[in-house]
Amino acid sequence: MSIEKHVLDAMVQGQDVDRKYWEQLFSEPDADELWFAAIERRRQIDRFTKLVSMAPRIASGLQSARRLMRKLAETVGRIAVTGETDSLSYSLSASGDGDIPDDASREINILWNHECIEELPPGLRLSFSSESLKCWHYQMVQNEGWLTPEDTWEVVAEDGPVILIFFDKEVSSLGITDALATKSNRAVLTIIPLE
Amino acid sequence: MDDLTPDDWTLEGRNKFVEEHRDRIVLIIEHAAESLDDEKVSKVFGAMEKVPEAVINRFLVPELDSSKLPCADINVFSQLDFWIKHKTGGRTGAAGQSCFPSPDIDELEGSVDLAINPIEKIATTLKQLNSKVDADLVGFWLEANKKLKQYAVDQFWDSAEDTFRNTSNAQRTRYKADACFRFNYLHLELGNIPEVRDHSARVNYESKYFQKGNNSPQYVYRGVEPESHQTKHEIRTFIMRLIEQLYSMNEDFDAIERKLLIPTLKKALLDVYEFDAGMREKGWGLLSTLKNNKVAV
Repeated sequence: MSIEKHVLDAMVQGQDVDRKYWEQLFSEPDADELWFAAIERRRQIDRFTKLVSMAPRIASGLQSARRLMRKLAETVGRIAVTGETDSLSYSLSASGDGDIPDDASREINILWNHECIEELPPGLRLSFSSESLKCWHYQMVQNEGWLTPEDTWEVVAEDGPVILIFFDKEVSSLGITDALATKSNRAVLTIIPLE
Repeated sequence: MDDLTPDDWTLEGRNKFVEEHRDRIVLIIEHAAESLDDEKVSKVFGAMEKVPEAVINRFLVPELDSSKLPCADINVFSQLDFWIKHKTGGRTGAAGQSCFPSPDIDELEGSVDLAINPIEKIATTLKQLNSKVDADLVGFWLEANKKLKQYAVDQFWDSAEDTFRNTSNAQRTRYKADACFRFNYLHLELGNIPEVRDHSARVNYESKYFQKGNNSPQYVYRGVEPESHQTKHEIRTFIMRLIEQLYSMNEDFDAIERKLLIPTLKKALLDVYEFDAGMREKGWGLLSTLKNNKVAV
C-alpha cells in the first residue's frame, strides 16, 4: 500500500510522524518524487489558505472553477486526469533561486487542465503561449473581464489576488460561469502578489 | 493571517471563531480534503461533502488541547492528518506518539544496537533529519540514495560505484551532496565525537544547518543577525574538520554506511560550502580517498 497523502503532508511539514512511515517512504521506489509532490501540495494548500484570508470571494470562485474542471475530467474523459504534480507551477518557478528582477517578463506555457496558485512579485509581466489558447478570463475583487491570447498580464499589488482562467475554445461571449460549464479544456492560474 | 488566529481557545472562543469565519473555514477544509484525497479520508469522514462538518465538529469538542495543534491559525483546518488522528483517537493518523510509541531518538543516540536493522536505523535518522532541515533537502537525500534503497531493501550486493545519473543541474547536485552530508552527520553521530563536540564552531554549524528555514535555497537557517565573515570562516573550518573526521573513520564504515556516504563524496560538496582553492584541494584529497576505498564486507 502506498503511503497516504495526508501522512506525507504531515511529514513534509516536519511534524512528528511514527518511524514506520519513514520506513515505508524509504521503501517506495519513487520516494523522492512522492516527497516533492507532497511539498508542492502543501505549498498549494498554504497558498489557498492565504487566498481565503485575503479574498474569500476570489477563493470561492477558484474552488468552483477547480470543481468544474474535475467534474468535466470525470464525465467527459477526454481531458487528461491531473497528475500528482502541477507542471504549470513548475514551469512558473523553474528559474533558479527565485530571484526575479523587477519589471521582468515571463512566458508561461499553458498546460491544459492544470491548476495552481503562485505568489509573484509586483511588476512581473506574464505572457501566455499555447497553440490552442483561444481566450482567457481574469477575475479580481474589483473587476473581471476577457482577454485575448496576445494580451499580457502585469502583477499589480493593488489588484490583490487574481484568478486567470484559460480556454481552448472561443467562449468569451459568455459569462465566466457559463464558459466554465462548456466542454472545453481550461487551465487556472491564481496569482497572489508578493508583498 | 494574523487576524485569522483564534485568540481564545476555550470552547466558547472556538465557537465564536467558527461562527465568524465559517465560510472561510469550509473553503479551507474542502480544498485540503480535495488535495489530500485518498481512501483514508473517506473512510474516516465519509463522503467528501461531509468532511468540513466533521472537521469543524472535531475543532469544537470541549477537550481540544490547543497546545497539541500543528499550527495555531486558521490554516489548522487544512491539517487533515491531525484531524483524522483526532477523530480516530490516534488509531489511523500518522502524527504524534500517542498511539505509536517509537523509541526516543535521544535514547538511540550513542548506542550501537546491532539488533536494529539498517532500514530502521536509516528511518530513524531520516525522521530526525526532517525535524531539523528544510523539506526539500530530505527530498534531495531520497533522490541521491535511490540506489542504496534498493540495496538496503533487497539486501542485494552491488558494487559501491557511484552511478547516479547527473542529469539535473549543478545546483541540484550540490544540494543533494549537502543533504547527504547533513544526513551522515546525524546518522554517524559525528556531533557526539569528543573532538567534534567540543569544537568552538559546532553550535554555530548546527544552528545554521540543523534548523528549518523557509525551504528555499540555500536551505540554511538565517538568524536575525547577518552572519559575520568570522563566523562563516569558523563554520567552514568546522566542516573541513568533519571531512577529516570521516576520513579518519574510513576503515570503520560498514557496507551500508559506506553506501550512505557515497553521494556526499563529490566536488559539488566542496562547492556548496564555498571553500577556497587550498581547502578545496585538501577536501577533495580526503573525499576521493574515501570514495576510492572499495570496502570488503
